[in-house]
Amino acid sequence: MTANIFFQGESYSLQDGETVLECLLRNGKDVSYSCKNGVCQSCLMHSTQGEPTKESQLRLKDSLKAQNFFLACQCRPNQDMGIETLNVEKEFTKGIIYDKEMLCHNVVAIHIKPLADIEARPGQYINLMVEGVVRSYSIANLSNKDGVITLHIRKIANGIVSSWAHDKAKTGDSVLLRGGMGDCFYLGTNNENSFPILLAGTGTGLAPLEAIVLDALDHGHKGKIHIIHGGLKPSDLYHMEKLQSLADSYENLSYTPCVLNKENSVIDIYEGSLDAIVNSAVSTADKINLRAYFCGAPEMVNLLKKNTFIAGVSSKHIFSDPFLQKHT
Amino acid sequence: MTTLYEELGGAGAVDAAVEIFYRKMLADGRVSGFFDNTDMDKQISMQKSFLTMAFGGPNEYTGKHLRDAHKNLSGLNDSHVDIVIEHLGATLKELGVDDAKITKVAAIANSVRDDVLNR
Repeated sequence: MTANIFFQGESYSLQDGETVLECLLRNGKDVSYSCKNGVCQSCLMHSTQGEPTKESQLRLKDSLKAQNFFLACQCRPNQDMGIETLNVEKEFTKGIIYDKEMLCHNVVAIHIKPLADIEARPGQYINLMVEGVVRSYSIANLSNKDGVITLHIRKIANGIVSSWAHDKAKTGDSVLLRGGMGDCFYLGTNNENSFPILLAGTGTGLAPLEAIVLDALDHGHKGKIHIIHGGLKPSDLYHMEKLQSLADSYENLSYTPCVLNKENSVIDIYEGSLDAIVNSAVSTADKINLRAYFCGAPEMVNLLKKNTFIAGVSSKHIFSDPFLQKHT
Repeated sequence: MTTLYEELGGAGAVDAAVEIFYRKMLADGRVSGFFDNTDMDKQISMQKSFLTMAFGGPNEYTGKHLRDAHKNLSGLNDSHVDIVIEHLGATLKELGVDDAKITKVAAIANSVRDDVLNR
């Protein structure tokens, strides 16, 4: 049975098994999307007629569900639907760039002061809208305390938002934000804060991990915390001094920078593959209580998740930055 | 009359079994390759549906679902279905389920063999 969608005064028929997003793109509609996996929420839309499918609302907050918002990339309607894109003014919050700094050869940090409260936990991700394009980035700092949201943005050739961040963005510019989303954040409480935490990631996957470490320390976490940042070569790593000095100040925190190739660097960096280090860290950990966070390159994240799960850690205790983004 | 699903412990039993079962599958080189490109969290929720079905519980599993889900797995054959049933049995044994019930579960799992293998 074929369903139709009504969008901007036109009607489109869905092909068998097609999602609303696929149908709009096939018809040349310029709508926002990114991961196509129901995670990043870049393709969030609003239904004006017809109930969105259960799958298309699975990961949305209750308040959004109740208002008939849905994810176009997960919606395969079996009845006609009237849909519209988000009202930017209403759904996004304006923010002003407060500062910008290069972290390493291909990563820039953008510090944004939101002009209204954004409900987000450090480590969660937000949607950033720039030049009409929406992309997801993880919060890298204690945003709820700092009053500023810090994002780490990697340089990607031809990436619209990435190029904007690296080449155009300057202090005082305004951006649009929406968030926070995802379950990559510290989950300790006053009564339960002695479990061990292992965090590992590559590239800008460090952003949420660093935020989670800061949040855990801020909550007075008592269990051991181990953060591992991996790169191909030493110049891919950043915040080494910051993390090392943090590890020096907290007895329960340790930091391991690691690269595949040290390239004659004299700095104290572990040389080897990230998954090998993570495997060995997991093997000696209390696997029943360990919470593991993995972020960064998707192939690596999937491998780390799988290995950690096979080693005996419950899937409920393994969190990851869910982006499978090929462009940014 | 209680159903097999109820006797096994219902949804709680599925939750207990799913991690053990999926861990066995991933750790087994004979079948782990089929999961290389899958998202673990999605897989676990799919394995839950499978176990619910195999335990004789309420499920929305249809032959078409099973056919679609497995049709792109090249090289999938009877030996892999045998391995699934073997790990399913070992999982239940670990959870203290008696042999008679394990045999029933194995029979239900076996009943969808042709759908899984698309024949």
